[in-house]
Amino acid sequence: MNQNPAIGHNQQPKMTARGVNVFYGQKQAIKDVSIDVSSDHVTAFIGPSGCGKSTFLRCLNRMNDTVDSARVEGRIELDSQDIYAAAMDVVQLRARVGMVFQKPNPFPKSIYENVAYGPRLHGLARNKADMDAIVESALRRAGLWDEVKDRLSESGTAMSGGQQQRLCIARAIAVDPEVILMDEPCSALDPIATARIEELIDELRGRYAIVIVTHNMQQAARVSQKTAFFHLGSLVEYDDTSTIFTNPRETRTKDYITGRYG
Amino acid sequence: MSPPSEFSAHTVKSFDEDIAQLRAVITRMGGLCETQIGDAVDALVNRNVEAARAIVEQDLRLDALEAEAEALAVRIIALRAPMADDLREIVAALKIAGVLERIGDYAKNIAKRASVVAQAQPIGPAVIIPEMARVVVEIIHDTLDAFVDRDAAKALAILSRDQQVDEFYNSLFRSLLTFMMENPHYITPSTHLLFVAKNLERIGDHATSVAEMVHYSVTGQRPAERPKNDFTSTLYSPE
Repeated sequence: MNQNPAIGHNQQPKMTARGVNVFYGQKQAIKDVSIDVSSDHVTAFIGPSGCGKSTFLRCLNRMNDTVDSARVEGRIELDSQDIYAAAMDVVQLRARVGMVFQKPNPFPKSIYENVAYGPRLHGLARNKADMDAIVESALRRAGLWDEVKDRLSESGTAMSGGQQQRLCIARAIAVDPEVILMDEPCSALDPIATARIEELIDELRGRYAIVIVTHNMQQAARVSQKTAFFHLGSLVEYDDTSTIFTNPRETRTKDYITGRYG
Repeated sequence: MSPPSEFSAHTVKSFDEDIAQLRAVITRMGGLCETQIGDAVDALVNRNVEAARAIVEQDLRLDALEAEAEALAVRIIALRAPMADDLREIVAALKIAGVLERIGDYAKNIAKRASVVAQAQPIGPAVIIPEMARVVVEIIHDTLDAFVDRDAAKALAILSRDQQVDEFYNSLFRSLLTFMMENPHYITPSTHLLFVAKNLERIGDHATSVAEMVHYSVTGQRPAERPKNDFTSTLYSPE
């Protein structure tokens, strides 16, 4: 399924993938996937373990470059620019397409330094006051400011899991990205911390193109407006989230979301 | 990973058991509705006041089954978070239970009127009523079959049959009006029979809407607007 009428007809998509194949050595992990990602909404990737959803997510900011055996074919564009082009600066790309991982992974530094790290690397602040403003703004947008404003010098690793994950989101948005990729951002969190992240995703919606990989179908249903179902490396179905969860077209999608296999 | 199939079982078996239990309650409600309508019309035709009273009491069982279906559906939604066709079926079952309970109320009302009609002279046009009831009961029966079999084609085929019920109703409406005009003495039993016919016409409508729900539950699509043949709301005098 390559051309879906549900794909990005409102406006220019933020990211487009066309005919993407990914190989790990001889093994093909992604098969001919084409999809558009829009800034208007949150896009969820769902599917059983090993279906390739995380692998595909990692193609969107070239995270697979770090895996020696991985080979990516096809074309992926960010604002119509080929992100695999030789001229593309990968560090710059990853600032524009940020990522939040499954396990919160704050640097073993202070809360302030965790957020300031990216902006400093990219030279976004001219002075201390600039940096203070960037850090505060990112922590506010991540819904963390009120909890940490009096202890910015404490270690990021001393916070609760949910706070650490929001700190990682603050770190990702501090460099003012255009796209945020989230790879199972709540799977290590309790329900309350999960709800706070979901609320945060909803607040960030529209400001950034957000793509979330999740095993939790209820979470995909709650936070996303578009859902893509992957199976055995293929994109089986991509449609409005409400359609996917009430009346999917493909039997494979239906059997997965109703708990008949997977 | 097993190959996908239309009616394969859920990985969590107790989910299938929950759904089977809900379907069983709906099927029992359908069967009880059929019996109640048949018995009510029998009581009317046979002028059997005792039987009519028993029907009114039996209606409590339908109310209890509706409550059971509702509790089951709510529990499945809360505990299983059903999706796609499962979700549609459970929502449909919840609505169907409500409609069947309502159909039971109409049957009960027919039984109540049977007691009054029994006190008056028998009147001719009443002979249409058992025939009309038979068609209505068949519609309910086939609709519930379509629900249990998840058969969208069968559900769709039922929709046009409500027109027969409407035609019976039109015909009875006209003859009862004529009857009353000719002999004011018959106004009381005729009016009750008119309500009995109206009840059966309503039951036909409700049963057909259940068939629409079954179609939606199976396919995710609402069927097109169905034809209606009840013209009595615009009828001024019998022609």
